[in-house]
Amino acid sequence: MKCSMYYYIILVLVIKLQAGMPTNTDSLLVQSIHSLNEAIDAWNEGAMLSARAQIERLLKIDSTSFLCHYYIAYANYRLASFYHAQQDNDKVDKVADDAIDHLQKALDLNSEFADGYAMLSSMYGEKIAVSPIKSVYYGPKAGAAMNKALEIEPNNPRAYLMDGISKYYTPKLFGGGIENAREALQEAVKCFKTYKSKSEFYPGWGERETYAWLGIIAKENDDFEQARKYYEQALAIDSNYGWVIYSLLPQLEKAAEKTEE
Amino acid sequence: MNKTIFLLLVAAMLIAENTEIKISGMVTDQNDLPLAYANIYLEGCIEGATSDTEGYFEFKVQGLGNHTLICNYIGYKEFRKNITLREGQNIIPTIILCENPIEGNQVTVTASAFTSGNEEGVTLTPLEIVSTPGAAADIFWAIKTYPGVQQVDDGAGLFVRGGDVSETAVIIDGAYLKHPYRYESPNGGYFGTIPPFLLKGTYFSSGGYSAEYGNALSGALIMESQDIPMQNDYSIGISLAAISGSANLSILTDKLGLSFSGNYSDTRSMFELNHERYNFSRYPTAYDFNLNTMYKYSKNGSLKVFVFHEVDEVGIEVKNPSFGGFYEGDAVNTLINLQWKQLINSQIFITGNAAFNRFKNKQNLIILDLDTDDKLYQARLAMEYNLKDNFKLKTGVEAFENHVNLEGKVPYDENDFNPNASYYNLDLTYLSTRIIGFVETQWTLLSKFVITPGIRTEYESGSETQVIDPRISATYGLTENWNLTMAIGQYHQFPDPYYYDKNAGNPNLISMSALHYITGINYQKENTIYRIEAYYKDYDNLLLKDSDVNYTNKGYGHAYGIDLFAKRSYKEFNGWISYSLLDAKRKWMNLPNLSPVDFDITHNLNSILEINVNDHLKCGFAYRYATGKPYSSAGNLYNDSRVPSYQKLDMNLTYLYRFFEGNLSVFYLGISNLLGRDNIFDYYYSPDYSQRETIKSTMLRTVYFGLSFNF
Repeated sequence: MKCSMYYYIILVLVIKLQAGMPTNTDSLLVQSIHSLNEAIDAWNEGAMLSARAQIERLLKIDSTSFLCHYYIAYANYRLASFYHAQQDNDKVDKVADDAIDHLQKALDLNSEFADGYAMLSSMYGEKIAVSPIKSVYYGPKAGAAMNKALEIEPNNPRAYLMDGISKYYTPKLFGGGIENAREALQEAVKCFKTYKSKSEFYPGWGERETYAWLGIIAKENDDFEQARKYYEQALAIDSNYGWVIYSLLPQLEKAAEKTEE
Repeated sequence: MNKTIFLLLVAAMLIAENTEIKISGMVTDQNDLPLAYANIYLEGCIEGATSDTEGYFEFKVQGLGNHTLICNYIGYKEFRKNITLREGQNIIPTIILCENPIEGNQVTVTASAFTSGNEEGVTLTPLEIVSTPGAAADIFWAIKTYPGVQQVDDGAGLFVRGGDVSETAVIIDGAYLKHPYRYESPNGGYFGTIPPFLLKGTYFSSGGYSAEYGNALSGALIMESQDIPMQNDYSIGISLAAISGSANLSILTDKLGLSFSGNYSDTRSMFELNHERYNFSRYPTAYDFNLNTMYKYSKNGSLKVFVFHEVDEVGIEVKNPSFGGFYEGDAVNTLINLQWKQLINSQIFITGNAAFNRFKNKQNLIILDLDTDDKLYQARLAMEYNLKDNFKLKTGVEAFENHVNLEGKVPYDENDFNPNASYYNLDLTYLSTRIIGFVETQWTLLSKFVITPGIRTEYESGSETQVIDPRISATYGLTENWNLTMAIGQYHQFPDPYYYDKNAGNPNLISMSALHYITGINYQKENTIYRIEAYYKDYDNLLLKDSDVNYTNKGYGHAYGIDLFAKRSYKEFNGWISYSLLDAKRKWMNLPNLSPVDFDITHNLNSILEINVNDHLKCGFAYRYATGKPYSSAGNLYNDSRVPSYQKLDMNLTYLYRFFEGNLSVFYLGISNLLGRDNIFDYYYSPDYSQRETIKSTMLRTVYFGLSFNF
C-alpha cells in the first residue's frame, strides 16, 4: 500500500512537473497565428485583440521570440486598417506606436529579419497617414527600413506588397503614384511564386492581398476587366476573402455600371 | 511518521497546485470608463482573458499562492500587481489603466512659446519656415512673423517685447551662439548664421522661459540640429546670390551618420539686378560650411559633433550729413559643439555639452577701427529625472569662460565718426567666468494643471556678483483644446565685455535684471492655433550713460503689451496672422529720461497666406505693418518722434518638379516689397541737428530666384 502510494505520488509529481514546464510555445504560437488570421478574415476588432492578447502572453513566457513581437505588430497593422476605416486616428496612432516598439524589439533580437523591416516601414507610413506633417521625419525612416528589408531579402514578396501600398498613397512627386505602386505589386506577385518561408512560424500572408491591390489600381485606371481578373485571382487563393467579396467586387460592379450608363 | 507527514505535505501541495481558481474583475481607464479588450493574465502563464465591452474579465488558472497579475492595453501603461490567490472565486479590485502620453499629446502649451519641427503641435513646420514669403528661407526672419517680435528694420534681429536685440539668447544643441547673425550690426544682422536646413526643430520663447536658460533679459531661441540621416541624399542649390551643396550620409543605419553642407553667397548680381541705392566698396559676400556627425553608441546613448564655420564681409556706404565713408566689416564665426545624450533608465536622461564658439570681427568706418576676438568656452551637464508619471525634475550645471579681446579706436560719440572726432584707444582683454546651476520641476496635477517652478543661479567673475532667478510657469487645460497659461520670472543679463573697459566703460557694473509677468489663453487643434497673451516687464539696473564713470547701473524701464496669433489651414490655404501692441520705455544708455526705446514699435502686424495651387505649384504672400521707429528730432529731445510706418508686401512662387526617381527639384521666385514702398528706418542727424540723412532699405524692390536640386 505504502509502495503504491509512493508510486502514485511520484507519478503525480512527474505529471505535475511536465505540466509546470512551459507549454510548447511553438504550437501555441501557431495556434495564435491561426486565431489571428481567423479574426482578420472575420474583420472583428475584439477577435483580433484577443488573438493579439494571446501572443502577448506568449511573449511574456518567451521574451526572446522576435516572431511574437512581429505577430503583435502584424495584429496592430490590421487593427490600424480597421481604425482607419472608422476614421479613429487616435487609435491608429496608438497601434502604430505600439507596433513600431514591438518591431524594433524584434529587429534587436534578429537584425536580419526582412519582414520585420518591411512591416516597420509600413507602420512609419501609418504615422504619416495620421499626421502628414510627420512625413519629413518618418518618410526617410520608412524609406530606410524598406531599403533594408529588400537588401536582406531582395525577393521578399511582402516587402514589395507594402512598398506598393505605400507608393499608392504617396504623391507621384515624391516617388509614389499608382504606376509605381503597380510595378511594386507586380514584383510582389513574381516573388510570391518562388518565395519560401523559413518555417511555418514565419510570415506567409499577403498573396491574396497583392492581387486585391492590383485590382484596385486596375479599377482606378478604368480597366474593369483586368480588375475583375485580379480579384478572381485573389479569390482563387482564398475563396472566402471577405474584403474582395463584400467590398471590392461590389465597388467594381458599381463603377462598371456607372460607366456603362 | 516523518514519511507520512512528508507525503501529506506533498499531497497538499499537489492539490493546491492543481486547484482551479477563478479570477475576475473590471478594467477601466482613468475616467472610470470600461476598457474593452484589455489583456489580463498572470505572469508566466498562458491563461488569461480579454475584458468584454463592459470592462469585465474572468478566467481560470491553476495554482494557489502568490502571483503577479498583469494587464496590458495598447496605448496604456502596463499594470502589474502582486496578488495572492485563494481557493474559489478571486475578485480583483478594479484595474485602472493610465494612458501612455503619445507624441502628439506631449506638447505642453507654455506661455510665450512657439515651436517649429516635424511634430504635432508645432507653430510652424520646417517647410513653412523656409517658404515664408519675404523671409529669404531664414529662421530668424520666419520667427519675426511670430507675435512679440518687433520689426525695427529690414534685418533679421530679434527684438523681443520691448527688448534689445542683444537680450535674446540663441542656443543650438545646448551651446550658446554668442554672435548668431551674419553681417552683424547694432540691430543684429541681415541674416541668421545657422541655415534652417541644418535644423530639426526650434523653440522660441518671447518671455517667461525656463530656468534652464539664462543671461538674456527678453527671449530665447533654442535650436536643435538634424539627427542621423536615414538615407543618403544630396542637394545642390543655385540662386541669384548663392550656390550651395549638401550631403546626408547614413553610414550605419540609425547608428552613424554624417551631414555636411557648404554655401557661398555673393550678392553683387542681386544688388545690380535690383538697383541698389547705396554704394558698396565690397558687396556682401559670405561662405560657410557645416559638419554634423552623430553616433549612437548604444540604444540609449549618442554623441553628436556639430561644427559650423562662417566667414562674411561687407563694405557699404554710410550716409550721414556730417561725414561720409564706407563701413567695412569682416567676420569669422566658428562653433564646435560636442553633445552627449544618455538614457540611464526609463527615468533618468542625461545630456552633456562641451562647446567652443569664436567670433572674430574687423570693423572700419573712418575713425572707427576695431578688431574683436570673442572666444566662448562652454561646458554643460543636465539631468532629467522622471520621478513619477506626473513629476519631472530637471537640474544641471553650466560653466562659461569668455575671453574677449578688443583692440583699436572707437569714437567717443557713437554718432560722430569724423576723422577729427575724439576717440578711445581700446586694448582690452576681458576674461569672465560664469558658473550656473539650475533646478526645475514639473508637476502635472489632475492631468489638467501643469506647474513648473524653477530656480537659476549664476556667478560672474568679472563683476564678482551672484544672481538668483526664481521662475514659475503654469498651464491649466480648460478643455481638450483650450489652455490658460501664466508665467512669472526673474531674468538677469551681464553687460557685454566692452562696457567693463576702464576707459570706455565701468569695471564695477553689475547684472541687469527684468521681471516678467505673462498670462494668456491658447487654443490648439490640428490645423488651427489661436493665442492671446498679455505681459508686463519691469527692468532694473539697466546701463545708463554717465559723464563721470561712462556707465552706471542706474537705468530702469518697463515694457507691456498684448500679443495675438492666429493660424489656420483650410484645404489648399494656409496662413497665419500675428499682431503685437507694445509700450516700451527705458531710462538707459543715452536716454537720460524715461523715454520710448529705439525698438518701441507700438503696432506690429504680420499676415501670411500660402496657397497650394496644385501638387507642383505653391504661392505665398506676406504683408507686414509696423509703427515707425522712434527717433530724436533735437539734441535735447529723446525719441520724441517716429519715422513713417513700415509696410511691405512680399510674394513668392515655388514650383516642385521630379526629373527622375529620387529627385525633387524646387524652383522659386520671390519678390520682396512688391508695391515698392519706400520704407524709412531712421534719420542720421548732424551733431547740431541742422541736417539729417534718411536711412532707407538698400533696395526698393527685390527680385530673387533660384533652384534647389535634391537627389
